[in-house]
Amino acid sequence: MKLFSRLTLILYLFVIFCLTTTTVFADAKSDYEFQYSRYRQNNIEYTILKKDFLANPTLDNQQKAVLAAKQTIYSRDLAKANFASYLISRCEETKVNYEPIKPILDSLSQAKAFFLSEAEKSQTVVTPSQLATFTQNYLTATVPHDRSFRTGVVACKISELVRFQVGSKNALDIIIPKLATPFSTPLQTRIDDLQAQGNKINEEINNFTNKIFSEEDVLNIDYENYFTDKSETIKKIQSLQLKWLDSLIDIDLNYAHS
Amino acid sequence: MPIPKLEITNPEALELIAKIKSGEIIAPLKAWVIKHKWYLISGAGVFILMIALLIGKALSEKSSSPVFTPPDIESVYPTTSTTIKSDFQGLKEEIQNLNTDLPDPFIPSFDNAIDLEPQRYD
Repeated sequence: MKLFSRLTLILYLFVIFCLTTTTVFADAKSDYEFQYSRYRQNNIEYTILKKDFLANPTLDNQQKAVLAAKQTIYSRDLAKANFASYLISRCEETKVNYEPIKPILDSLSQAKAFFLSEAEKSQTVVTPSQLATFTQNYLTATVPHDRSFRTGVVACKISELVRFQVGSKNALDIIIPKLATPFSTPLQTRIDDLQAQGNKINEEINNFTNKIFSEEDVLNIDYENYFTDKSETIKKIQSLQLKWLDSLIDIDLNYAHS
Repeated sequence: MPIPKLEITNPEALELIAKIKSGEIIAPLKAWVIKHKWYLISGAGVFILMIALLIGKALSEKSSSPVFTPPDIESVYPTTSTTIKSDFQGLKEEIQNLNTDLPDPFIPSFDNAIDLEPQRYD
């Protein structure tokens, strides 16, 4: 009987383990989406209760509005922390470990820590004056962390471009041993050209990454057109990569497969 | 054994034999044939034609119809071209599928100024 009860307990623990691991395996994107939807819901509630309080400033309405504001701040900062986490995971899933974007990833990690800490801190707010002080401090402190989202999305694109470069380099390394030696002069010229073009694309990506940290870009970060020229540069690098790969595929089909 | 000689004595038979010998008995038939000779010739012609057709049909059914085949030429096989696909086509598709638009993912908007100050709703 004792053995049976122990087995039942183990079974219960196993079921709980399975349920909790399912929660743990939820990806960063779904976590962020969940938190953001909660924030939106809370924000609507807060807006209504604040209007009620301003129209009829009773103690009861004040308490309701403060509570709604606290919940909104809490879900907002959790949503932001999860968004930072999502961006980090997007950048890291490429597995390129590209050093120049590391400061951006670090800033995202700092942003995540900041928002988590603010979410906790917001729960200590009790009065409207405390809420005002909290928000006043938050408005100043959040600026660099909010900006890290803007550089973060660019960093994710850069890590994708780098991943393509790594893939292309590996492809060339696979093809070269398959080619008949000694290389004919036209083939050697094409391989040299590929290597030169590959280096040129690498340089383009490096310059693009360095530009994110330039004074001009830092000053421009909050403006609408911040992404416009970056999108154009990404498109340009993408077309260079495609051209490079077309040339490699041509060598693969005409020399490596013959 | 000698065949006994028959002698006809019946007067009716004798009369009939006399009519036959004189040709009197076939005279009406001869007259009818002469009168309708073209009908008879035409009917005979049609009859012979029908018989000829029936014989021809019977003969044609007995022998199997010949099969006409085109002259033997070399068999033509469709040309099969083997398309060589590069192993790096997948990488190319990945590059092509890269979304170059920014911001991607879209950065959500948040209200950073959450307080109970009235000025925001004036």
